[in-house]
Amino acid sequence: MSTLQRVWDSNFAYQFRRDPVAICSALVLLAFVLAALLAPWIAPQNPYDPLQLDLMNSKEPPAFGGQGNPDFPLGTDDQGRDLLSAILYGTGISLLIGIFAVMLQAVIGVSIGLVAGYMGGRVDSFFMRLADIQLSLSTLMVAIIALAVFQAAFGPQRYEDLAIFMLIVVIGIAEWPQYARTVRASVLAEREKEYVDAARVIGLSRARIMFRHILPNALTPILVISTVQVANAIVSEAALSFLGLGMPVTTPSLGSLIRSGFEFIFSGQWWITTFPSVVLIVLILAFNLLGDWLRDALNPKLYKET
Amino acid sequence: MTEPLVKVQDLQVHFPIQVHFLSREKPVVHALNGVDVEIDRGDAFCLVGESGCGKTTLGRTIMGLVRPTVGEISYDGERISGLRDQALLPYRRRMQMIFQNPYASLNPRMTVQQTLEEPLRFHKSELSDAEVREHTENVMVSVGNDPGWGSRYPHEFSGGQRQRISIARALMVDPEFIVADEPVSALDVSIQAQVLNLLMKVRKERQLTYLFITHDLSVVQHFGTRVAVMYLGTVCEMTTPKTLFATPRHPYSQLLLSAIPKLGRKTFVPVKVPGEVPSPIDLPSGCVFHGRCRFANERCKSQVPELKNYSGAQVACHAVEEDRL
Repeated sequence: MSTLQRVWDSNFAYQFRRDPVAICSALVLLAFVLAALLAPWIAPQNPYDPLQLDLMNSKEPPAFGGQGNPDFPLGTDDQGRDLLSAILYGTGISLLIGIFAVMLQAVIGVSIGLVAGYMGGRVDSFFMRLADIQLSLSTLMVAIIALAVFQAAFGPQRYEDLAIFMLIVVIGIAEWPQYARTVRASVLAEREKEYVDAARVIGLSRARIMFRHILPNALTPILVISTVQVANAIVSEAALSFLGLGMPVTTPSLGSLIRSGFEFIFSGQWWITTFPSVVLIVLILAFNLLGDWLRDALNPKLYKET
Repeated sequence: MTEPLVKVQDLQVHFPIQVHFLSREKPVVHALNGVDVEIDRGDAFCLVGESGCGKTTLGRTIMGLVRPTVGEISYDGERISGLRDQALLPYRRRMQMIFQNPYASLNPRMTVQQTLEEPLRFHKSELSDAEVREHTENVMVSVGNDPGWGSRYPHEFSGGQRQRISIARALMVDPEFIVADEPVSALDVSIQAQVLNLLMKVRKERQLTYLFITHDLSVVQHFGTRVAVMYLGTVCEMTTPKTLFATPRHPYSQLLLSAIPKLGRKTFVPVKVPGEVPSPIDLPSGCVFHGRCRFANERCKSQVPELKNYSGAQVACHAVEEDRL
């Protein structure tokens, strides 16, 4: 109880309570996460189960227009899949890929940044040039090449099963320099402080000094870029799916839903693309607004007036 | 005569300066140029000198935080310079360090208890939790801290309290030698005396040996049993505080002492000295002080003076040697 009270009284929570944008975006995110988690129970049908799909129901317009089928509130796609269910499940897949890809990025990037920043010298130069090389190749380019090779190597059937892991790995590896650079910058500042010398005088090993002493003090910027990176990863996944290299149509993410509807947008079935797009935009916006707020709230130099 | 606890022989430390990697010159900062120091058991050995004279570098090199370029450091008769981290561990238990800035020397993300326990658990992992807690409590009390502070974070304390916490951390492993790098210079004047008295008290209680780095001569007078005056990476004079204050022999020591303002003295006439401290990147030849010394002659410009004994003081000066002063 007292911990809860402390959190509630902290400056951080106070700033949060005072910022309507932060509250709104946090609520929106919470709603999406809950919807995605509860999808198996709240969705009208299981969009991954071909037995529940009926081609006779394909391309039904949304129910609210007055001409649709009330069983499908947001209409259906070309395979008779209920769009609301597909969006609920798809949001889950997008979030899953976004969060795990960022975790992978963080593990790789933080370790490399920590080692490079603390060791300095040649180790530092090596990893930072590696990061420069990685950054000079755009994420999408790397991902397209890698996924295209995977798809060709595994064959479409096997690829469908592995797609989610592949996306996490590819997006995770492509973006580690963001973390490595951020962490390195704060490690460079931290390692000059006397508490690090004090730890060296005790005789602690390098690894212990890096992870126990320096890392906790370098975590704040990691938190901030993580929110933005989740949004980026979701966008990357959507872009790859839109290009046909991401999640297959049988287990669609938001990106693959947008893609599958894109073919029909000029023949009048606008809803198949529009609804997943709106969800994607709102999701990304919420992440980015929350990230902006987090950056301001954790930077004491930016204390706002009043 | 017994073996000194810490013996520093011809210690040189050079720091490379970052230049463009294609540049042919490799300039270095000569932080220490051949320092010879012996610290006996039980000494409160003070190092004085102006900013940038290398006194902190000397302390950090003895602690193994900086690798010496040339020279040798022995501890209790054993050579410790150039040892690997692992081989240095037994000595880490016996020597500890207190840092200048109490606002930076405690990890802000660790509670006082965690900070204090860490060295003990690392060096004496055989102790049980209860023993560790008991020991921590004893050390906290002995430095005048409330043992109930354990669960709090460093930012909740004032500068003097934090410095007492870092003194407690240094004492946790029961060391016999402590390097104190200007431990009071970041503190409020009213707290300085309190922390100094605490350091003197624990020295008496635990038979500690100190290397006390300071730029404050009154601290030397109050605290030291021996003192070394440093200038530009060399030791100019090494003696007892009493002798130094009564009869400073090296021209630089005389200059340093003349700069102390004294109460009741009507006219303040500091010894005039031309020029500035030369750059440690390209050192002057011969005696490092010759460019600013009134007594310098041709020999001072070419030959580096060595520390020599003169009735109770070791002085590195040709003028003293030739009795020209």
